[in-house]
Amino acid sequence: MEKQPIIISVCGKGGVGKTSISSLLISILSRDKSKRVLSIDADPAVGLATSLGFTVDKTVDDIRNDIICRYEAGEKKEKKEMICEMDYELFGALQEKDNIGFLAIGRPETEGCYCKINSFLKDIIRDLACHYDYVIIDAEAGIEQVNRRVMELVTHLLLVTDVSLKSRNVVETIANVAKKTIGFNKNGVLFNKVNISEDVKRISDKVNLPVLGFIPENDLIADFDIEGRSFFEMPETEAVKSLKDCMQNFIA
Amino acid sequence: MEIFDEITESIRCFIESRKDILHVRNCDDVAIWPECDRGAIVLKPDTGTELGGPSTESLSLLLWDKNSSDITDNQISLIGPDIAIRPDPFPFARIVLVEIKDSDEENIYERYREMNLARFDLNLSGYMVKALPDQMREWSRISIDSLDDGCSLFMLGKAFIAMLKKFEYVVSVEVIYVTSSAEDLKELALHGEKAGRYINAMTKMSECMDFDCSGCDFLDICGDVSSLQAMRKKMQERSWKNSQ
Repeated sequence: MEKQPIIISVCGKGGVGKTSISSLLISILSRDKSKRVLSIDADPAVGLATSLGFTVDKTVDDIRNDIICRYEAGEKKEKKEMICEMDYELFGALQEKDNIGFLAIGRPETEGCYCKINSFLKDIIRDLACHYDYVIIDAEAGIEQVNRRVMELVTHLLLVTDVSLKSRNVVETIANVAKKTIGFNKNGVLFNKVNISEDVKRISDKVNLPVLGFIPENDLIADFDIEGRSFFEMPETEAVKSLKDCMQNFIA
Repeated sequence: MEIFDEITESIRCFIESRKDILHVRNCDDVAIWPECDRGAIVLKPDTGTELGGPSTESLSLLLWDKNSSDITDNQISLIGPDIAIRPDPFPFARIVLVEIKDSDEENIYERYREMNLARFDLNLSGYMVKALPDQMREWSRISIDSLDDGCSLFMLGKAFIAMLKKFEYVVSVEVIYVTSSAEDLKELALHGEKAGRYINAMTKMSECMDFDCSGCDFLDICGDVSSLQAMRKKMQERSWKNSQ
């Protein structure tokens, strides 16, 4: 059944914990088994897969490159045939576990003569997304991602930063660029790796964006990352509780 | 010899050898399965059963003929079990035999493509289909709700027959489903490969303007099949006329 999904892109500077926040968010949202959650790993490093316990066999970029290679080798296809083929391959690349779907984008699309292929793929992903309640995109670090096609679908921009000025500047820049390029409904800043007793007062008025909340520094998250453990096994820590609270208003 | 005569004959022999697990129905005796507005997407938690797909064998073959005696119109045959809720995908083959009229060397390739791609416009409730037409692979999912409501391969076959009969050049259609085993699918795949070579030869003819056949990969089969020879000859004549 088609839905109007909430599509959240988790953006920010490299190293602020986007993938951990994405993984925790997916874990929290998927606890309600009546809800479908699509996780899209748009970071070429494909770290989200490990955190969610998926193995990436094929990325959207692999599918695109395969089609481009065959096209360049002289293979001719009508539009309908090409779309059918991409649809099959993309659905084959989609991994499904209970109420969670996972799709890895791989490397970002290259500019050039293949905008039709990119456009078809975007349409297929959009159709797929319409069958989920939530779509969580773990975005590539920095602002480049904002210009990617997959971002055109975003309804909620979740800007993750740590307390550093550099990271805060990056989320402000992302928000500014996104306002001009994508039509999201809501955005907000989530401060991650925060020392609650010392940092909150100092930083809460330091960004000109709505502040969603603060996630405390948590050694367990770091341990899960180091050991490559699935975030679905994460116990109900303060960090998890804080993220749940922050998200309640954001996606309400 | 018609293009698929030998393959059709082999498929008939295969059916005969599996008659202990063969179920045959006329589509007039089968209920209609409802359509929906657009192609369904059936996610894993909603899936009652899966046919074909990347993890098992699948074959989707469409063979045409100009001779009605080789096709039993409106007949749907099933070798193996009908669909039911189960965790593993069924190995799956659908072989469609179509009698067409008013076809010649000039239009047969386009008509084949038209018929072969028509399945993507078949929007049936709770039935998702993905396919790689070039590789003759097909992957479908049927939702739990649809299975609870009594969806069967015979119903899907009926819809398939009705869809093909919308083409004014289609005279009769017979559908054969195979779900018996991966081994049976492997056996059928050999016929599929052969049919695929014939179709690829036609594709090449329709796209390639080089009439020097000496280095062609399909030289062996073009020599065997009169309709491929005729198609080639027609194209050569047309090319020659255009160059005058």
